[in-house]
Amino acid sequence: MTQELELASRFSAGEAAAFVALYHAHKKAIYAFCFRLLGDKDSAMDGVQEVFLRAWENHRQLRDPARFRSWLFSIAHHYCLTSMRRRIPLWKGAQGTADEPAVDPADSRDEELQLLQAALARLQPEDRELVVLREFQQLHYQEIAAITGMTLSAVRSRLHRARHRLFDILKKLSFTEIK
Amino acid sequence: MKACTEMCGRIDRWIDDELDAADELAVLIHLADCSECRRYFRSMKKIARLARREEIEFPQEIDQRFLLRWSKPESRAGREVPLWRRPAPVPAFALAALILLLLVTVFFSGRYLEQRNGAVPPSLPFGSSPLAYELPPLDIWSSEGPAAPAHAGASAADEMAAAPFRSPRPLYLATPAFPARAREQGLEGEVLLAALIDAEGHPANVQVLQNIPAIKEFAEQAVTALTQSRFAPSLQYGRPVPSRVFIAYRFHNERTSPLQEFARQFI
Repeated sequence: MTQELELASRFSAGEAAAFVALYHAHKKAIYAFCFRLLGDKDSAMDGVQEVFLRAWENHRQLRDPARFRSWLFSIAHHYCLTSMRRRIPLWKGAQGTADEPAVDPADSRDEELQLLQAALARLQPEDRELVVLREFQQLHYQEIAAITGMTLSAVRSRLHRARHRLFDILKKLSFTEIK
Repeated sequence: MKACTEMCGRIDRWIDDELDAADELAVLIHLADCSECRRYFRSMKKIARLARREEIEFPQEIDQRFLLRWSKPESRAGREVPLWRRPAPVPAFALAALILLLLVTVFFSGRYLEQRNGAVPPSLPFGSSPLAYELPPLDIWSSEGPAAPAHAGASAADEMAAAPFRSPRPLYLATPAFPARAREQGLEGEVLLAALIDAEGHPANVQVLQNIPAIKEFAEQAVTALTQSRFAPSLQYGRPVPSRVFIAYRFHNERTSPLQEFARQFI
């Protein structure tokens, strides 16, 4: 963690070598985040590149190096939400209904994960992001609040709503419960 | 579920392991009675387990794509131009820009031809036009060939003093020697360097960003070559300012080819 703090400080001063090191440290998390939100490999690959390019261009805006990860995820948050909002009409237009899952079945490990991804794809972008940040990225509420720019109580209530919506969708999709 | 509104928040906090013991007991009692809440709780726990189990494979090709895109001058320079200086989406502006581009191209190609014919002494090894930055990366060939472009006595400050900003440009680029061991073993490689060009055009703080494959000699030769090179510094409203430069050296092991140059990419 100390090493990351040092790297983030050097990065905020514009040091390219520190940026490359931070890129290698966080690329997988950002890719996974983009993949889960955008639903396909190509979009996620574009997302990783765009997020890190924006990070480099705005390195002076990182005022607190200790919060580098939140800052990086907030860039990914803006990028993914913008992309998802643009894509919703396309899904509806191309497939006639928004109920079609936007996941690539080949990328899922098993049936349950496929089902979960299909349910996630049917959530609103904002809801999906909160579920991904909490359940998949396993971030704390404070960190989610910093990334999304919401208050802590707003994160709690909206995540609660998002979970219930996900639960309703899963019920429709015959999600198997634990016995 | 409507009757369970009060418990919902507690169930969520339990899922997130943020519930204290007293509330935990209340939730347990409620779950024993309410099948819908029980179903919700189990489903959420299962989602959390599935999410932790899922591993997404990271495509390795992103590294190469990103590092190349990051070090590309046109994308970086283009993205950093302030909004009010970007080309306006007006056809007249686009037309004017196109005409200007044609004029510049004609001017510099004429100058290039004059240089080739000996009419004008060479000033810069890679041309004095900013278009030079868009040239595709060049490769380094192993030894036995003419030396690198010699030097240039450029009076760079005179040329573009009027421009608001000008990127650093190479005046003299030293060619790295191809390491003997690598030549014998038929090795090839690529080294990406970053350096600070100070206001006098001297490279400083040279850093190796990428060295593929990790052959120490390639990195050493590339760093030495860059350190020996000289640049016309960045100009901001005619005033020299420090700037950063990215240069990629590619080592190609082909004995018959002349020793030549290298790729360079600028921010």
